Amino acid sequence: MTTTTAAPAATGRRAPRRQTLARRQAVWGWVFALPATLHIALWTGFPILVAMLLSLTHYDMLNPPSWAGISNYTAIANDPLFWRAMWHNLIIAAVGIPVSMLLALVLAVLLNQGVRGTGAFRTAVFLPHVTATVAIAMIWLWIYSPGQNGLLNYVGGFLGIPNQPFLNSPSQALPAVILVTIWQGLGLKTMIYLASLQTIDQQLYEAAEIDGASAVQRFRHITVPILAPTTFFILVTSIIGNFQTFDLIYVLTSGGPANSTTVVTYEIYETAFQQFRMGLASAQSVVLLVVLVVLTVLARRLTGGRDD
Amino acid sequence: MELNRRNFLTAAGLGVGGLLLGACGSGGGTGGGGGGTGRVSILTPEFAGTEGKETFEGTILSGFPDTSFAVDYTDWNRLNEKLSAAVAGGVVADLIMLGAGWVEPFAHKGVLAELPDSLADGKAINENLFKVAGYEGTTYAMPYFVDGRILMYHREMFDKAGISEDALPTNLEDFREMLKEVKPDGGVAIDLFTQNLRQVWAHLLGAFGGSMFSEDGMSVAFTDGSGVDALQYLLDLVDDGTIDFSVQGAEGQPRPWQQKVAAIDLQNSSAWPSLTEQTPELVTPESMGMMLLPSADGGDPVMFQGGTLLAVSSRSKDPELVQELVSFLLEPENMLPAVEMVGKVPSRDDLDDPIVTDNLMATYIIDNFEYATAYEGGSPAWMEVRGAVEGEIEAAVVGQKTAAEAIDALASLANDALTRV
Repeated sequence: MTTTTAAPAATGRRAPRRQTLARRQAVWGWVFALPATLHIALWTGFPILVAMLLSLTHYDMLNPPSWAGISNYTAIANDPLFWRAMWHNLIIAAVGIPVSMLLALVLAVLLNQGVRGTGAFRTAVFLPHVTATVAIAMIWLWIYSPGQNGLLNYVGGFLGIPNQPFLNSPSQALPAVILVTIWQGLGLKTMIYLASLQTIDQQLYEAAEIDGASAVQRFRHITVPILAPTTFFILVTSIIGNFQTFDLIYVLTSGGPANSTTVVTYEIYETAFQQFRMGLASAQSVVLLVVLVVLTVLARRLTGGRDD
Repeated sequence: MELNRRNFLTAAGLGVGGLLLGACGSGGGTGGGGGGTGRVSILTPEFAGTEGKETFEGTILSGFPDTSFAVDYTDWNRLNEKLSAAVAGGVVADLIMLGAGWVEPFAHKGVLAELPDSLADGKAINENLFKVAGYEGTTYAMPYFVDGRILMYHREMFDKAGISEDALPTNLEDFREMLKEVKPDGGVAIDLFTQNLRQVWAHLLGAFGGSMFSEDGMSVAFTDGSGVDALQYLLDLVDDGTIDFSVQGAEGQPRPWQQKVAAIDLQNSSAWPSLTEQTPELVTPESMGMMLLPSADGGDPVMFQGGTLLAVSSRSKDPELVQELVSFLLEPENMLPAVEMVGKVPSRDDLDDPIVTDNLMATYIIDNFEYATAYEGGSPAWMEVRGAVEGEIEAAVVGQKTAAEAIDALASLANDALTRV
């Protein structure tokens, strides 16, 4: 009896202590999370809320905002240039992201072979990512320069290819921009893939090899599934990064010629800082946010919903 | 203060404006504050770089007594957003340098202070240049520099085509025919695409006797046929093969005219320093000829006028001091080092100094000040419209739209902007 009565008593004494500990841990958890929470609330949450609010106003920065209801959203719906910019973003994403991801995966697999000079090659691949976009754009401006002053036309001249206008042509400018985005984004994607590849247990490959799996089968049935969360991460960040592209367009083409390379962020900039229609620019930003959320959900579905 | 929706929106808007200003502001933290006696803040798109700063502050401003200066340097591409962000944040510089066509929008918003006409007394500034300095009959700015657009041509190419200086065309139809004659092999007759296409169209609009807005700036005027005619003329030149959209200058490289790929260049006079530095052999009186764009009907030629204006902020705490500074900057002894530094044309036509007289473009433009007209701007809605013009004109030039469609689209944008004034 003594034993049976003593045990619940002991348990009864321990339970409050555990609750106190859990509560303490929770409190400290919140304390540690507080700076980041405040930071996000102040610098992300508040601006988003203000942007949503301003999207319902007419505001030119020089006069106080006035209530506009949903007229800014109606204006966006009827603005062919905004949707053209959105279409350009989608084209850049649809063409540029898969190509750059595929190239990055191939490069990462090659870099993971451990051959000599890999370190230097990794650095070379990563260099465009750490180079300022403005500098990259200036270099590509020279590469794409029309006439024999441009590197591509100069090289093409040796091969008998006539001078191409590249960025001065409405039909060539967007592909030219896509090429730069692929080149610029390759480094980071490759490094992320490479880091993931290096975490794969080699015993899996050895076991598959013993079972008679070919190199392609090993890649398809071991590498690709294990890299799925990485692929999802790269896909989502690439989509978001693609829709945030601004500086490259600003320096390379300013959205031209004839708006053939304009993108959503450039249109938001033009609306906000050239036309001073901050309400409309805020509404455009909200629409962009919604599109990004939709694309992110779609990307999650496409990659099987795995992000662990 | 009563808490209502309007107040909340205002506070939110100003909050965003403040954040934008914080993001855009220079590291020096010296811009504005309204100034006070003995301290003047200046926002300028001129005098960039170490040499420019040294000239402006070390040579020119240092001669203005008992005053300290906080100068915020920017460039023309960013001046608009910088100025508007400053207005939203309530920290507008006391002295603002702005461009032709900018006075109407910012005066309409109450950003600029009225200036007494007496400020120009004894300054020898050509009367014609003041057309861009006022709004609704009031003067808000003083012309400081002028950027004229003139046609520069290679004499050897004209000689080869048998066109003498005495027989230059005096109307646009003859000019079009002449272009076919002077076009070099593998090149273009005239480079119209290195310049901002908006200004090229505006220049042609002037040649066809049109203007962008009505006198009061409250309605669109280029829909009277002149806008389409000007753009169609450009498209006709494309069809003739005398201009080519793919032949245009690239960043950091000599212009097609300097490479002798173009016989004629529609040039901004502010390019004189780079022309003399890069290709001095081409800009001698023996090698280079100059002319103004003829008008369509053979009347007076036309010269597009841009430039830099000096304006005083309506929020300046010491407007008299800033007006004194404006007057000081327009004095010959202070204007000459400024002109030498920026290589632009002074607004005064009485500066008989090699700094001006050795600049062939400057002397040509000063001689033709009477034809100078700011063919763009002229409406409070201009700043909202200007960014959209180039895209529409380009769309027509590359064949995506007809001239009429592009002008209709532009008119629609402009009318929409005017409804918000």
